Amino acid sequence: MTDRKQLMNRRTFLRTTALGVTGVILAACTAPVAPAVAPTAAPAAGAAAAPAAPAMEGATIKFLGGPWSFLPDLDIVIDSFAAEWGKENNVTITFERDAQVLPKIQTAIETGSGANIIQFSSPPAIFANALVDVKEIVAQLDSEGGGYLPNAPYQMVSEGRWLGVPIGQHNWFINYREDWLKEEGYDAFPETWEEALSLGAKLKAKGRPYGMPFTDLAGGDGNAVPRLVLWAFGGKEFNADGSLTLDSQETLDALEFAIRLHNEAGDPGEVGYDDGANNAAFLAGQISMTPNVNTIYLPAKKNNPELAANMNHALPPQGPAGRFGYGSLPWWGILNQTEGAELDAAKAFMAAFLSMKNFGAFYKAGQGYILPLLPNYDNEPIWPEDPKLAIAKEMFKLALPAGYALPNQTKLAALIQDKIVIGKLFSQACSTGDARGALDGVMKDIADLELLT
Amino acid sequence: MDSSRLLRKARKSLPFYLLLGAVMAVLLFPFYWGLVTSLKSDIDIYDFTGNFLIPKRPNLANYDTVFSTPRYFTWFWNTLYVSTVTTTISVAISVMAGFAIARLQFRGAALAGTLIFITYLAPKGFLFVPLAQILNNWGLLGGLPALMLTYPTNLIPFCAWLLSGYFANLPHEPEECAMVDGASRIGAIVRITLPMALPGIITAAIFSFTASWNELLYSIVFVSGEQNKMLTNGVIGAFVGGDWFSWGPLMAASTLSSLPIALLYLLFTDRFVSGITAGSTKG
Repeated sequence: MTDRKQLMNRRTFLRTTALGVTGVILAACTAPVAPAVAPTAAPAAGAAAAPAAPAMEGATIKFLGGPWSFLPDLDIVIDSFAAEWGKENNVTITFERDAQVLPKIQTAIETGSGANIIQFSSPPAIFANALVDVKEIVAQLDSEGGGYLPNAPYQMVSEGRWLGVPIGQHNWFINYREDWLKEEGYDAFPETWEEALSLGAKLKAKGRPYGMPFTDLAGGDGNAVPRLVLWAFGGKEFNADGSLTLDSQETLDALEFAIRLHNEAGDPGEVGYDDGANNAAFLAGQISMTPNVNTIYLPAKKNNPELAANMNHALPPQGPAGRFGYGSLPWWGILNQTEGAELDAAKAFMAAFLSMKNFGAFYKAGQGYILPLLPNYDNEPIWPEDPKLAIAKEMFKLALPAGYALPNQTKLAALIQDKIVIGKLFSQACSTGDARGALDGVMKDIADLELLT
Repeated sequence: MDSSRLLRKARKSLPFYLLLGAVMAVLLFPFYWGLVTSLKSDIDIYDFTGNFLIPKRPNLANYDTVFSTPRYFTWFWNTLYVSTVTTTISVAISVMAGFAIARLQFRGAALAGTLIFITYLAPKGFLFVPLAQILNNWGLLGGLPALMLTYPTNLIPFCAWLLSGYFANLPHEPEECAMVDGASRIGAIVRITLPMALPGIITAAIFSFTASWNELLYSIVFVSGEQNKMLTNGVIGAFVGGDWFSWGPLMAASTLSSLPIALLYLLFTDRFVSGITAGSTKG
């Protein structure tokens, strides 16, 4: 026992434990930590050769945003321009990209470090106090682009401040099975919702229903698709003066039509779709039509060319009030912890890259995934060469923001969008067949949301 | 054993095995679904005709995609490294805390035990911003050490609580006998108590390793750069974009990610089960 005691007495134990724990912690802390952000990639042709402003020479800008995983070429366009521009202006630009970027942005704001320029997709109002007013950049782009479409000021302006610069818009086209429509005697998707309904009834009878995401489980589709119908029948959430106008005969007309569309032509599961469900259903050949960006067509072209050959795109059909599109806006903003040379550099970089001269490459690489918000792009060589995506050029001027006809987003409008209230309205109406009941329920929800504003 | 007795026994145990089979089928089905999806081409993934539970043209192309994803092996190594270090730190501290709470009989031991466990209940969503500020002040935000220091803040409370229950149920006599025979308290702990507590310690270690392996929020917030990503975050970024999911590679990566954990459970199943059930009865 004495021997054992000598092997492990209290002192030995404490010393061993202390050494062990210290060793583990030191190993952890001194492990080779790769730099937090990667340097910019290879240079691109055609970057702006703006003269170096002395104020920003030697600055380092940190960019934080989500990766364009669906189309990695978009990130390459950004990286290439940044490398060239950075070299010419003696500015270092680093990129940090993460699919789950929201908590990272929150952390950057709270710690005052980690990011200067951010890229995000939901409205910037949630970060309003943390963003620099970028009105000078917007004024330059607005002037050269022929004036921003209404979606831009709606989402970006808060209390007179431009919180970010929209880099474009995602639009929802009608994706349809051309081969199945031909069997019904249609060469293209119908021009009106009523015609679309009668075609859909025939298709559903053959087990080929539409997949309209009338749902509150999809932040993208659930906000976009119900509004395509709502607006086409004259319904809207707000008047231009900010007053609420959702509870109207036009809204009820839209809901009654949606109920018919769901019952006579729709996939029963569409009231519970999430953002990926309509993509999967279309790719599986379970539905004949769904509104979406090109995130069905481009993967089909790569992995299922037969399906891609048998599908096509169309504008959203017209209703009694006309034809409407919906757009959601990714944007860039500058965090207000950015000061001095870094602020000058961040502004100069954004102004240079987002100018029409340079940013067309980004739209071109997107093949219709992301469309401009400036009308002068109409005549630029940025549009998809694939004839099945030619619709993008007609589509981009149609799109309206979620809170139409508000000129700028209010807190209530942002909450209605964030909680997918219009998706819930359509989902409940279609599930129960009771338009009035669904509208009453949602008006109560909106009254509750008003208490939060 | 005659045949009628065998038949009677089989009839008696049939409902049990039917229920067991049903529960197993429900629990294992997601893993099976992930595995078969990982072996299908994109066309077959969306083809629900015929028996879609068996791949029509099984192939390893999705695994090839995963292995050729830049930095996949770096993410795998990061996850293994961080999980191992985190588990070591968490279990070492939890053993000491759990023993102290259960066996040292100081005033307020029970309260200390409860308070430690309560800290486990604090939602991560509340903690990540203040933790990020601390890490930033220490200059650790962005690298893997940030995870090695923050994961234990969540793991130690649970493991200490688990182990204190385990230590409380171990007999005191062997430890006391060792001390009567001349062992110091530390010597008695190391030679007598810890070996007896091994199933509990293994349980805590497996819990810590699994929780670290699967953690997402801190791995998003506290590290920067592709080269510092963990598997959970890296795989999502590589194969998901908005409403686009690259299901084949995603399922291949998920299947591969679950293998080390499955292996760990397989190796220590017996000890793990005795560890989690040991504190369930007194005496």
